[in-house]
Amino acid sequence: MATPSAVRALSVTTWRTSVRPWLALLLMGVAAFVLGVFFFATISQLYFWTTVAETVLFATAVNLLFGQTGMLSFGQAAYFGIGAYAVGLLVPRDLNPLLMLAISTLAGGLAAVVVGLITLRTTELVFAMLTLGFGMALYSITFHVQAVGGENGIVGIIAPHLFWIDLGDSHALWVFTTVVAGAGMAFLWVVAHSPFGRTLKMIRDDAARAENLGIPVFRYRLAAFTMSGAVCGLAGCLYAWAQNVASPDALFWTTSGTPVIVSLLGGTGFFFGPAVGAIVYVYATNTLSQMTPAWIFYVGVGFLVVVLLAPDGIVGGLQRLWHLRRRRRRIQT
Amino acid sequence: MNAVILPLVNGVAFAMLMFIVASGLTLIFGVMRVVNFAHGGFFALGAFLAFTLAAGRRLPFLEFALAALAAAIVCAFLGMIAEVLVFRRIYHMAHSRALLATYAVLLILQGSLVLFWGNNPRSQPLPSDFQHAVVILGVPAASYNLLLIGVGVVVGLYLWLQLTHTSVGRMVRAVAADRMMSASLGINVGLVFTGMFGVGVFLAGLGGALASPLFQLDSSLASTLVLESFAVVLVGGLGSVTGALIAALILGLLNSFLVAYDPALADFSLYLVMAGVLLVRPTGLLGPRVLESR
Amino acid sequence: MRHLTIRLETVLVSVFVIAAAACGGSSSNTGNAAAGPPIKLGMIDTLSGPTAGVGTDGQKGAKVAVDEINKAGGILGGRKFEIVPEDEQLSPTASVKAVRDLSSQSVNLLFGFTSSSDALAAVPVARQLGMAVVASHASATPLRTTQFVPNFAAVANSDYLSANASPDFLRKQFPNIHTWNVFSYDYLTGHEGWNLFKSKMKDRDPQFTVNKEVFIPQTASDLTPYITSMLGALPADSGSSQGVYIFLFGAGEVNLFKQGAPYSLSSRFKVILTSGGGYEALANTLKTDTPSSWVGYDYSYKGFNTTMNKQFIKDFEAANGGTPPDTWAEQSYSAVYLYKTAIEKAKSDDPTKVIATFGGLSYPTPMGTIKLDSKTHQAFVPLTFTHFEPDPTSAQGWKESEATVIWPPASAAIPPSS
Repeated sequence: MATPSAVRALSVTTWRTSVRPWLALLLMGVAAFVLGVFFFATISQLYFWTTVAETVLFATAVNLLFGQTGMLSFGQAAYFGIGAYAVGLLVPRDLNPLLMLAISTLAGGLAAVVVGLITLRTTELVFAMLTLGFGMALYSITFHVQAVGGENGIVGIIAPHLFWIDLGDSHALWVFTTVVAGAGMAFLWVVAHSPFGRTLKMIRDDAARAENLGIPVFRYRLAAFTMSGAVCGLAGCLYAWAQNVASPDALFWTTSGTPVIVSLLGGTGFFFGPAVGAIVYVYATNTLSQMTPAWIFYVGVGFLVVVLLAPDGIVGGLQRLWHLRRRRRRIQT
Repeated sequence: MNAVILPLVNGVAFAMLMFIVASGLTLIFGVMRVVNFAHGGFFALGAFLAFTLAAGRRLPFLEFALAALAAAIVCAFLGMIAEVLVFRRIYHMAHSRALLATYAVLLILQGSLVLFWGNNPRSQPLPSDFQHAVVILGVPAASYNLLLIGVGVVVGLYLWLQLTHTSVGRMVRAVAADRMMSASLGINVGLVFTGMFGVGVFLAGLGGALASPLFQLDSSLASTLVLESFAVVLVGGLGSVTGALIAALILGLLNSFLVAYDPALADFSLYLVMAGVLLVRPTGLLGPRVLESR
Repeated sequence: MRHLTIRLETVLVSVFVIAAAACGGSSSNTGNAAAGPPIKLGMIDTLSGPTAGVGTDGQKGAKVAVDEINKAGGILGGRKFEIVPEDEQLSPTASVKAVRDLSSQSVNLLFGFTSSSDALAAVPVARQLGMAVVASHASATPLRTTQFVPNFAAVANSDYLSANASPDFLRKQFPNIHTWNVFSYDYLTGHEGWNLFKSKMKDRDPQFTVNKEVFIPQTASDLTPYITSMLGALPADSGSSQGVYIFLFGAGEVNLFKQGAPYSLSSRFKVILTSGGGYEALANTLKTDTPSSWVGYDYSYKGFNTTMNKQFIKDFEAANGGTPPDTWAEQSYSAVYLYKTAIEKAKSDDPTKVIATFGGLSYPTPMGTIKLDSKTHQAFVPLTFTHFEPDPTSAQGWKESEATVIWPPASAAIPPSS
């Protein structure tokens, strides 16, 4: 899959001195947050944020495909679920968690390659439906297979020991999840800002023109699809450890839809758009679902407000507000 | 013989239900290039409205038909309001932005079901003249299914005739083909958009109202038939009403016969047909089409 | 401009993340531990969605028990019971989250669970956190066998226990029906349950035969093909000679009867037998379209004459506008009394001590005094077979005309080895 030119395209872009201080600020903020949660959060809050971390990774991986490459897949839950089930099946073998992470990632990536080879030569909507179909077919299969627990899935999945650290402990799992999710995000960041990532954007904007320029569009798309699938598998592994269960729900099409919606909410044009969208979405649905049985109504209204007022997502809206203030200030002086 | 007649009749009946709903979806896409994710919400709303208008009683056919039509009309109104308030602003957006908007409307509709009807499931009885089975070639077929087939044929014919043989239809097809050109020719594109969205949603609501005696009415109704409708639209070809009919028939009959002869495969028949057709002919059976234009 | 974009983005996001952190984590209320007098019981049940009836009825039943106990002076020297409800949302991950939320509030005695899948996911987590779990509704066998953990106990019937009751009931009530059919969801629990039924029936009736088995995928909405598949396999006299076991629930069961009505599906069988609680919900949905059917599940208010049952019905009707309790209410009511008994025996509400009393514990219920099995912590409960019939004369459209209680044989308490 990787041709010499693709390998070169993956090389890291030179860091611009203007980006570094702000990224450092962000990283320090996140690190402070991780430590804060570690020391002060209750068990349920720990798991809440662990779920958020894994959702952020899942959504960003899907957005690599959706926002950056312009491919809407409604079946990323398949790779997410495969990652989760892989972990579930491996529990009795008591493997090193890093090895389990690698296996989940690999499983997700492999499945994505297979599906990608079949479906990537189609148009946007057809691609969405076909990927959805594959995910749902997988969902239907799990009900019949005793080995993956049928409709109950695999329960009691507890994270193993990483050397001397027991990852089954919620605090340890929190730190481990943020580190792994952070590594995943770093990988996606590098890909997104590399020449390879820029080419993906070019393909998104005008695939025909890219083809004319000599870019092997299909190969780039397949690479993006595989990478996305692999990181989705990784997110699935983290999910299984955080939830202690891998159930068929993880493969349902609504699980595929959530990262797409969340990316749109936060802003698909921004690397951290899905992350912001994920945090808002998980927070809002958690709070609202405890307040009223008709909470879906209010979530819908919220989405509508975002779409109408901030078509570029929350991050896009915030950015425009910032620009507006700067312009006003400039006019006043 | 009954091993063929029953699956045939029932397969076509279910296909007609799918067709009525999917035709609305494909019309909306054909004219406005919008994938209406809220379609399932209008389907459910139509069913609940029909139930409320019928007060959950077993009605004679005429009254039930009136209730169904009224439910569909209310859906159309609400749809047109949504179009003017929400969808107008998203036509210029990329497909993906529009996705969130239609999805938001779906959530609002789903939430409304719980808000106005609560969590307890409801049931609408079949109309009193269509409670039983009629015997066809020695085999009992539910008369309501025959009614569905009839309604589906009427709807299909009506849509086709309107689109291909009337000036209104010509106008709609013109807008679907090239909205800028149509606007410069003096056609009120905005009105056509609103009107066609109303028609599309009317069909969803009608489908829901007709389906109300067949399913338990609860909030999950919004997701019932969603996958099937989208599959029908894509397999038939986006924007083609005739294609939707053919695709619906294929899916309905295949599922019906598979359940009778090889139930293990029936679960997957939807995905198999989708994959089979779309990989070979990605634009669908009769696509790409500007509605029923050649 | 691009530098500005990246810089802005990261600044905005950094601020956002820190602000989000400052707002705090999960939205459950982080109240203080129950160090004071009230003993808190956590209830995880479906309070929203199509199965909300289960959780809300369970909550009503639990409340009646709590009010009765508190009025009678409470436990452990006057301490009162308090219920802390959480919504199961029919989701394994939401159930796991509910367990953790309750743990954060130091609520360590749990009961509930509509769905066995949710219970299966939540019980290991509860064990990790040292919490006790009493299943009021979930019935899956693995919870008592392969997935059993000591902190688990069940007041609800279990599939392997109740599998004996149906054949015993049928041999008594319908001795001339030997041929059976099945409509079941195509899932493991359905297959296992049907296989159990078949083997127990064969034990008791040498003439037992199976005619047609129809398994329906859970995602199917149009059930007509499955109905006609069954109809095609039925002989003309099936209405007087054959029975059908229905292993569906919720919308699927309702839709089966609705879509089968034109074919007079219900009259094609002499006996329609189904198991599982909440049939009142189906009857309330279908009203006069409710088929004449027998439902086997833990409790029917008509089935028991004990003092406690009379008191339970009286208190429940008083608190709920004259509606009698259903099985969900009785199960949660019994779960509360189970905890009362266990806490009194352990002389403490410490979960470890309470869990230690589970094996072999006897506790009072409206069905009589029930004993928990020492190995599986499964309550040795009977199965009540209630006859539901349409009733056009009543406002609700249906009635429970009779109820027969079947106690399983002592040998049934031994779970299947797996």
